[in-house]
Amino acid sequence: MSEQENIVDHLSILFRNAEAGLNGMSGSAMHQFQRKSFEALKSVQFPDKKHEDWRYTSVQKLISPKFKLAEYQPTSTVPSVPGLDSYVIHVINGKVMLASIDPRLAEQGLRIIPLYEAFENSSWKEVFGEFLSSSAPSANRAFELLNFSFNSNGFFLSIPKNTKIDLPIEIRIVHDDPEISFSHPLFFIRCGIGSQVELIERFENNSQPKNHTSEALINSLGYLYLENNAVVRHIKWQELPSTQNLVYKLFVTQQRDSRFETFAFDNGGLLTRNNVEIELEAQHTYTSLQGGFIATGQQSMDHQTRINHKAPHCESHELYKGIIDDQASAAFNGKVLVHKDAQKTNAFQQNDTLVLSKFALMNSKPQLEIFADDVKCSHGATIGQLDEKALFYLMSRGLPAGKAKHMLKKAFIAEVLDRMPNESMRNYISSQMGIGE
Amino acid sequence: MTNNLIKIKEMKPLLQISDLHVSIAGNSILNGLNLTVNQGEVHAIMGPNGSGKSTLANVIAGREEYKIESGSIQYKGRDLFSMEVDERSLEGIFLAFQYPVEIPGVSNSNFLKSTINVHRVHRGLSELNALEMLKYVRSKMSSLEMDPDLLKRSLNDGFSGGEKKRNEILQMLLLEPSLAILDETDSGLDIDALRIVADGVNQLRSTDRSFIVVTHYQRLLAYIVPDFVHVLSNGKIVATGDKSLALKLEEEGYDWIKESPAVPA
Ligand SMILES: Nc1ncnc2c1ncn2[C@@H]1O[C@H](COP(=O)(O)OP(=O)(O)O)[C@@H](O)[C@H]1O
Ligand SMILES: [Mg+2]
Repeated sequence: MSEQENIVDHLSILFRNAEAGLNGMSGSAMHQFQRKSFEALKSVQFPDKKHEDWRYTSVQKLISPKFKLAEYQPTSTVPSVPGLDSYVIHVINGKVMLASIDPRLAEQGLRIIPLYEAFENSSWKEVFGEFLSSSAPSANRAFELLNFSFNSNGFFLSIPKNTKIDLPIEIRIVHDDPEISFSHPLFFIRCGIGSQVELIERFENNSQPKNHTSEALINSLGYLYLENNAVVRHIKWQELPSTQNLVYKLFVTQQRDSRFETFAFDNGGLLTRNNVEIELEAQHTYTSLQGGFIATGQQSMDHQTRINHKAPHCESHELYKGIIDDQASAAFNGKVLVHKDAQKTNAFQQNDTLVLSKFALMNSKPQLEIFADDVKCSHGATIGQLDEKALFYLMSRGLPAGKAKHMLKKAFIAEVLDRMPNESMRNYISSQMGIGE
Repeated sequence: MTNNLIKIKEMKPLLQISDLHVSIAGNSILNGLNLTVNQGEVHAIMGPNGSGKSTLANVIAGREEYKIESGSIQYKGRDLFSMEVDERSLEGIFLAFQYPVEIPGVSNSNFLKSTINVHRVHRGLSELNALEMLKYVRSKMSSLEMDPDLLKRSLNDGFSGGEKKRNEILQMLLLEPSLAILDETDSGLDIDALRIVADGVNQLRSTDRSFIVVTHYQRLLAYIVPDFVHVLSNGKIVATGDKSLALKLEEEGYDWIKESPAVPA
């Protein structure tokens, strides 16, 4: 029996056990959806290394036939970011903690709706229900199907028309189980016409190290739907313990004149697989994807981005900068698709990597597929080492080699980090990444 | 008798270069260079383009790209080649680069703060706090008529030629080196800037501090009056004299040197 079949068999047992615990919920729309998703997963299977988009991350290393669903409910949580006032939503082992949601959200008319309820909600069905039923299953979507099969505790938020949320919404995602396990965080956010929000996702350690000595996978999925003129600023920060793997996927659909900007920084975890998919459905949208990462030791960080320019006059920018050291590896695969009708598209992509050790490995592959003729598109990738001249200059002023290298690494990531408007998060991330003052 | 003793004290050597041969990428650039710089002296090094002036400056500062084929350099009585780049700086060697490196993302003020404090700690002094640092740096900047906004920028990043050169001299003033090497600091400066830079150097001149001023033109030497002028050609010092040698070079160019090597001026 192949490893793949092994895993799927194991998942079937887990799925049946989960179903058995459903009691009265078994006929619900949510449950029907889970069943359908799991059937689809069984039929498509997980992608193997022959799959174009999975050449650098092995599914076998991400998912083990020993996994169980994470259950343990911790009492400890992730500490706050100094100076950051935000509306906090805790997601522990894939489950949104409804009781601890900041009451100020409800005061603004913003209600966090658990997913089983969202399935009956017309606002959810209108955008996400439509979207999900129209996307065909494929091996590349296996982790989404896995998430749908096993998640029942995600959430949905609908931001009403023209609502400008005064503070960031901060989702703190923790995986906390002493046993080998996985969890499946899931959220859907609908950003109404002209609404504005800053959304922060923090994947972090809690303060009880005994609970993350075991291998774990966080298989996280998020959907953002930006209606006309909506503005979303998004930050993702990942500093998981070194035993945990992360498969992260963010889907963003943008309608006319909407703006989406994300800053993604990865520092922790063992294997990290980041996927960002942007669908530009209507004209005059703006999209900016920026990221920075530092991979050391045995870490692997694999970035996949895909921007689908379906409409004319849209603009997208991408800049990812990474530093890899020791035996670490990283990949960047940035796809930009410009459809035939998407004239006057502006799409720019850049990926720069510093490789500090001869054992470290970087694979960078920008992919532009352009079917329109009146567009401005560019892409570039650099892979290099620390600038010897700069190092000499700094050391010639008395700075020791370690300090001088530190300054140059910091400067490298700073090109992305310094553009992030949220100052508290910026300071926090630079200090957590070890590139602070 | 007393006079002689004073003389001996004045002649304390800071830097002694003996028969130095240096190559880069297989090309020999310095070919048996000898130079002694005593404490308190100002030496000017002139010479045509490509004669090896910057090579000499960079070898003293410790750039590893250059290969030392033979010869020695003693600095403060120690083997200079056994000292790391940062240690040379802490021990008082300062190179004002001909082409200061632009380092985007490293803020000028953080950089200055870090270097000043490593030097202070090395001298057994306490680190300056943010406020003391700002006062110290600002006062030196104003003496160089520098725009304080340059502190907020990235190190040399997008600085004009003149701003870069002033930023080098600023660092020299802040770090108070024992041996400052100015590699064509005057090139690209207008006459006002030149005078400001020269004033900076002159305010640092003292009996225990030495300078090597690498320049193409004698105009800088009108402001920074050297004790010695050396002519470097083909990686060797071919003539040594006092400040009048610089004037002669200005009038007659370098051709006479090429024709008759090793002229005792
Ligand atoms: N990095 C290098 N690689 C190859 N040749 C070099 C390098 N740096 C300097 N040289 C050569 O060494 C010689 C001396 O250069 P340099 O010391 O810069 O002269 P100067 O400062 O007197 O103009 C020149 O011929 C120059 O081309
Ligand atoms: Mg030169």
